[in-house]
Amino acid sequence: MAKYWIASICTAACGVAVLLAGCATTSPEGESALDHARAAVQRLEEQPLASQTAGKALQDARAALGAAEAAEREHKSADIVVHLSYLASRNAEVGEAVIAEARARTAMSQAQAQREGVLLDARERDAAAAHQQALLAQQSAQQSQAQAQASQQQAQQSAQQAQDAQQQARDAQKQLEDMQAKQTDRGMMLTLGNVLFDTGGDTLKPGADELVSRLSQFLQNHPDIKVRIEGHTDSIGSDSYNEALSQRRAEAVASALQSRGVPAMRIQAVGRGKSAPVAGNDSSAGRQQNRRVEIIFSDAQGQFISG
Amino acid sequence: MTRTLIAVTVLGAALAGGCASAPQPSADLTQAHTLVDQAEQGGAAELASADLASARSKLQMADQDARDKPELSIRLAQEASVDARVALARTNAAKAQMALRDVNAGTQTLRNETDRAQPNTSMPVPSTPAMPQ
Repeated sequence: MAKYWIASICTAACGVAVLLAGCATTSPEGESALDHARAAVQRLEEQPLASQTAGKALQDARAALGAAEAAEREHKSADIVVHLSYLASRNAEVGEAVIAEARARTAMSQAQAQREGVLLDARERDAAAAHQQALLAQQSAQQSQAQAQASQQQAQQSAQQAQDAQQQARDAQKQLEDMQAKQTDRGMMLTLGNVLFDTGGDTLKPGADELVSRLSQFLQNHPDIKVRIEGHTDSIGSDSYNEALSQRRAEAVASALQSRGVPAMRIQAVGRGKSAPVAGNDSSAGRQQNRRVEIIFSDAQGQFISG
Repeated sequence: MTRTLIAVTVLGAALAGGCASAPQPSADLTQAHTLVDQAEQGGAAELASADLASARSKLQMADQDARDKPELSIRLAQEASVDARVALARTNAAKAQMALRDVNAGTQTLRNETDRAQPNTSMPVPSTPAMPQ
């Protein structure tokens, strides 16, 4: 039974000791913790967003700080002041962290808007590039088409030219045939009998006018055709005489053509004397055949068949 | 006998009075446990490990002292709670900041790619929003 009393007395004594300890405060560690808490709460209060975004933490921090200051005033134990100050400081830290999170979220919506902007720009650029490419492709297609048309036209022109050239060649052939020209192994050749000149003379008789006229007309119609005019004689008389005579006769025909507007460069005049007979010189008929002027025509490109 | 009865009554009254005046730590302990769990689930072990460790060790001590030192247990539970709150708030802030960095880095990459694709663009490029401290 005495044990109970002892226990009671002990309990009472302990309570008194605790109370006494409570009374003996204003300790340096309590002060320090309180200062720290005041500073933390003040820092939080100075944040512009504090009451908006971290209202609860601010409220909790202020309440704990108030309680700590009250405990200090009432000289409660240092442990209690330190504890309440700790609650105040830590609540202030919660507030700081909440504000940091809110700031990051605000920046996040800006960052997302900016990202959208960059994406939009990229899409617009892609679209513009695609459009540009389409335009280029269209232009290129148009160019190709134009080129194809030009090629076709050119081909048609070439074909037409070839046809024209063929037609001209046929015309020339026909006209030459009309003038009694013959196809020989030296090309088309027109043989003029000695009716054009008086015997031994080198002046064209008036009867030659029509033939010279037709010839010059033909040469003007076919400006690429050249002529080679060869004078020939029979075997009577010396070589030099015959060559000179045949040369003069060929030149007479040439100058008659020139006087009708055929350029000299298209005309060759050659005297071949008696060197190229076409018949025997032992009869007057043969000699008559040998006395002649031959006009040899080039092809449409101005080329003579060699030989 | 009578004295014994009186003594028992007095002691009982004293204990009962003690029970009435001495606060019970159970509510603070429950709250501290809840908050520490929340901080753990939020990822505080990675992003606010010091705060979480402080909360855990105070909570453990609060649990140990719950019966013998109820007032100390309450204080420890309250400090564990506020530590857990700090841990969770810092974890959330760190997550938001990392997400912001990711978006900004992605935007920058995109911008670099676009600029490379179109090197002669003369468009003014706005700067990345600054990371809040």
